[in-house]
Amino acid sequence: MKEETVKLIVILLGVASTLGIYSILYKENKVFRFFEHLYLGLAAGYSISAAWNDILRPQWWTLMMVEGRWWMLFAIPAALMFYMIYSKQNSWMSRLIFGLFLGATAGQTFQAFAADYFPKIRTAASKAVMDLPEVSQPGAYGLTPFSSALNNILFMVILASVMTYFFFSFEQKGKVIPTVSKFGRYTLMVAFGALFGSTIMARMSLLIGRMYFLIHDFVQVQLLHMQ
Amino acid sequence: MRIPQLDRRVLYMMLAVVVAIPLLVSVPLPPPAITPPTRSFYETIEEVSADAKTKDKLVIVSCNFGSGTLAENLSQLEATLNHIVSKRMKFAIFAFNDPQGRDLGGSTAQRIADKAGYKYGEDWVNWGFRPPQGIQSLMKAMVNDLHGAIGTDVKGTKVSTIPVMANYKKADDVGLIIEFAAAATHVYWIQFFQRAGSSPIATLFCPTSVMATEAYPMLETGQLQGMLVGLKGANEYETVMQRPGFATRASASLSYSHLLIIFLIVLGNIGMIQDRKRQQGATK
Repeated sequence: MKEETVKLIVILLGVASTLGIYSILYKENKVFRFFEHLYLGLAAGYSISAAWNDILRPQWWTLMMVEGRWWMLFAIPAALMFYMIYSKQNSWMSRLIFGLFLGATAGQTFQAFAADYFPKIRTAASKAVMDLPEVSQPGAYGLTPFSSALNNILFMVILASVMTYFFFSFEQKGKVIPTVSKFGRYTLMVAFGALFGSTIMARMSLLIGRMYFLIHDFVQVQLLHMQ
Repeated sequence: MRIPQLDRRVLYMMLAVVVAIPLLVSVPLPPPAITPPTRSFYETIEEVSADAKTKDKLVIVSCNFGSGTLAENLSQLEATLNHIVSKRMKFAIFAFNDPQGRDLGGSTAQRIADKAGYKYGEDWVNWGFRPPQGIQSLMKAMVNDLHGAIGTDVKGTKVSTIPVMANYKKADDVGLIIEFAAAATHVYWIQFFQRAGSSPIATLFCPTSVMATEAYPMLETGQLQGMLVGLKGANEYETVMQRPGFATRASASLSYSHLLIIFLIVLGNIGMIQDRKRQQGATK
């Protein structure tokens, strides 16, 4: 089959799938359900294929069968130990392998936490005394001195007020603490609003991508032969 | 008819029209303002490629996205790869969260590399896909032994025998990490790889718009050196690079669709206030 024909078939399938999936916007229908299941099936098949072609075959099967690393065969009983959880008599085996993985994950989590959060805590704690965050990398994110100072003050105020909002160890009485707490709640709402705005932008981008495919790739290039 | 009773399908149709018109005819729009994260992103690649210590090091291009976020992540990837090849930097494509990233990243890299005269195996390589369940352990292994940890490339060739990888054996040989993601996968590089060598590796992040909000603090802490925020970031980057692509063409649709959403939010609120007043009037 010619390359052009294959390309046309792929684009026609893409058009049918896009319109089929978007048909849910009109109302629930069988065409949408068909394409939804088609997508899920394709995704599952694709993942299995990737698992075999990129991981199991080159990293395990070939090493064991072609290069003679026979000890890699022990991966099979180790993997089967997970399934011993379904056997009452042999469930102790599954606890061994689960324990091994839990231990390794716990150790990694300590490292992950330190690398992820310590710089944030350090930057937050040093905000009041430092003009700009400590950055050793080229092209670091920077602000002008004025905006940086303003940003730092705003940051400290919001940090304190949000922490007050989440402080439940005593009843929030009087005028000051409930007011600060309320301000913290409002700033949280602003943050969630920004997050929601970003979500809208992501959904719009997805729609634009599909519309561009229909208008440009299908109508303009394939049907009207425009470039 | 009252506003809250407006059929949602009318709103969908309005949105489709607003998105389609700028794609069909040229709609004038001023160039985007270049935000600090985009500026830092550009400057980081410029500085890494100019610095004698880092210019010959490997760039890891981590493609953790699928067809669902193609409009955002692919635009970012195309613009960034064009920048990297223009600086003649050597790079490796890698995916560990979505197997589609292996193919989407690989095919985009192949197309851009062919135009730039890059040769597979000599100037760039595709490490393929590795499962997300074991990525922490894999990254820890990569710090001291890239060849052993990666094993084979996407074609099944041993990484140690690929010419481009001959001088890149550990984290110290990596000069830049760029993460293109539909999820918060950049944290794995920060947690297990970025500072595991003798000096920190510059790290850039290209998230979808949804993910960007959570990543902003990392720009201030120095964990990230730059960021392209979704399609908007890609549009800014194409403007900085003076190389218009899909993001530039889509920017008018993005802007006008946002204006429509804001208009509809205002309209919805007016309708709600009217309803409330009507109900109050009825009870009196």
